[in-house]
Amino acid sequence: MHVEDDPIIADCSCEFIYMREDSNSPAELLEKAKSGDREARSALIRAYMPFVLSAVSKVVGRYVTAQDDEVSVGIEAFDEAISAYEDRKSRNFLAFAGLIIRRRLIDYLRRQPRSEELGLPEVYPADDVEAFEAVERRDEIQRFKAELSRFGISLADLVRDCPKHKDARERAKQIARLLAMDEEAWACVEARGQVPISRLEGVTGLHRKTIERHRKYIIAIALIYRGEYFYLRDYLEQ
Amino acid sequence: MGLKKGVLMEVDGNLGIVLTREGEFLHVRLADPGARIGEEVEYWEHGNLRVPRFLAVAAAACLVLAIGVWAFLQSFAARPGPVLAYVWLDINPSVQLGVDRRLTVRVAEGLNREGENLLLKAPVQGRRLREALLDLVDAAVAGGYLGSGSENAVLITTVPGEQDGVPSEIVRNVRSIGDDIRRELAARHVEAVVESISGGRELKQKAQEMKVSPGRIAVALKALAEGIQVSEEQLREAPVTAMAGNAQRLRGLGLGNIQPLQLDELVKQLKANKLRFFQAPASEQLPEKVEEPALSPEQPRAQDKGQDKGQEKGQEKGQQKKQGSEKGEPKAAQARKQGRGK
Repeated sequence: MHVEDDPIIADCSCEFIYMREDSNSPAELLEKAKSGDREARSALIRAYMPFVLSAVSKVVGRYVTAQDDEVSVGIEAFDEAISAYEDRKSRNFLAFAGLIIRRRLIDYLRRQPRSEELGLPEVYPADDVEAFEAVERRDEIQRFKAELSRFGISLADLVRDCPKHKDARERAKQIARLLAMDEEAWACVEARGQVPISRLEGVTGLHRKTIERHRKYIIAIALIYRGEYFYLRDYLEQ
Repeated sequence: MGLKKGVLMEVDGNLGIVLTREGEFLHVRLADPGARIGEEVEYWEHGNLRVPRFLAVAAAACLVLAIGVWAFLQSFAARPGPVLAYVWLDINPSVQLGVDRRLTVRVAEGLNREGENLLLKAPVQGRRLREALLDLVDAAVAGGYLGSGSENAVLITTVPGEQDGVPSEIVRNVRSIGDDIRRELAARHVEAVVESISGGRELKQKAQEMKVSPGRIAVALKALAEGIQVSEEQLREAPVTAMAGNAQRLRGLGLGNIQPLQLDELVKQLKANKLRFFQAPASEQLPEKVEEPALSPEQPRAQDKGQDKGQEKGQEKGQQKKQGSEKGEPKAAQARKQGRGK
């Protein structure tokens, strides 16, 4: 697949495609893609472009855009991962894809002139998807905790703040998704650490006091949806 | 009530905060106290109980009484278990951990300044050995002690506590933790030779006498047995890969296969060869010229074989050095850079 043929990939403005209510879940897209549905395959690649960009950026050690050759390699590797992945429950797909992307990128970079200056690892990453996933998640969790502390939120706060009832929690997560996608609403959170309740209240039917009571939880989940927390997000979306 | 799963976000002993797939943050008791942040873990789920108020008050009163009795008994009975083994982690930093029969870290100290700094970044006292070692390795990666390049080494050496030998169960567990460290470093794309070594009382005593970790002594002994010249300065300061020549040679020394008895036999054999570094106490100043150790007739001199460049560098450094030092951060940093070929 050629990056330049797909305007959405080229634009990279697709972080929240798979969060839309009317879209298939990643697991559904993966299953369809493996069954030969080319539309689903394209949709899955588009949905995970931010992940591919992040994975490529980690290997090459710099910011990359969809126009970079390395990103094309990353997309092809992600496409390969879709075909190669075998677990029907699609758990660990992200870690599996992350490993494939790294291996293909290392292969590609080794073939480039002056590759010895890049400090590439001598060996491939071990084929241990669980260990790779745990390491990636640990890095994300450290960053997540640091970002939470910017808002004066700790994990202990989230234990207290988290809605205990399943339905209330689902509605709170829904608010968090909306908050993550709404740039103006998020700007309010960044500026004052407050959830713009009036803007979001009518959408989900949650009473404003409920939203206020679970403010920290909503902000935390919104952070996971907004930030580069691909593995944590994937865990919540399963 | 049963076992459920979630991603471990924070850990404190056998308690932790997990994030479930349903998006719930929970404070839980972990099924595996050695679990690490980022892993999907199992935890005990407690059901919700609703009781009449008076029963709740009575239950609370009984609980307070029971805690008082328990605390009284614990003051006598619940002393930390004795240290059964000392586990040394050599990355350069070097750290020593004393563990009890449950592999809980009772004692932790750094052999050098970098080791002390590492312990500040990853406090491990009271934690399970697996968690402690993995966190120390993580901190070493974050601190740049393990990073780009292929000349990284991690030695995990087990020697006995007050008794004569190390319980075989502890040796087996440490080897398994060594495998975990390999997996962790591979997942982080850090190339490193990871070796688990076990030794007896003699190795421990020699290490204490020379104020050098037993792992470094083990590498030096095996390197000498292979005809690789190791100076006392290299024994104290050089990266372990440089002592063996390079990482590939270190891997080839077969440290992982050393049995305690074999290592002790090796110590005795090399003592019999009257090698200088075994005789010189740590406080003695090094002469300006490094003397070649006396060799048995069977062992050819290293110069006849052709010396490795890394060995030459180490010996040049030894000639320039005026005094056997204990720890100098700049010197250790230089030795690290030379060993990594930076």
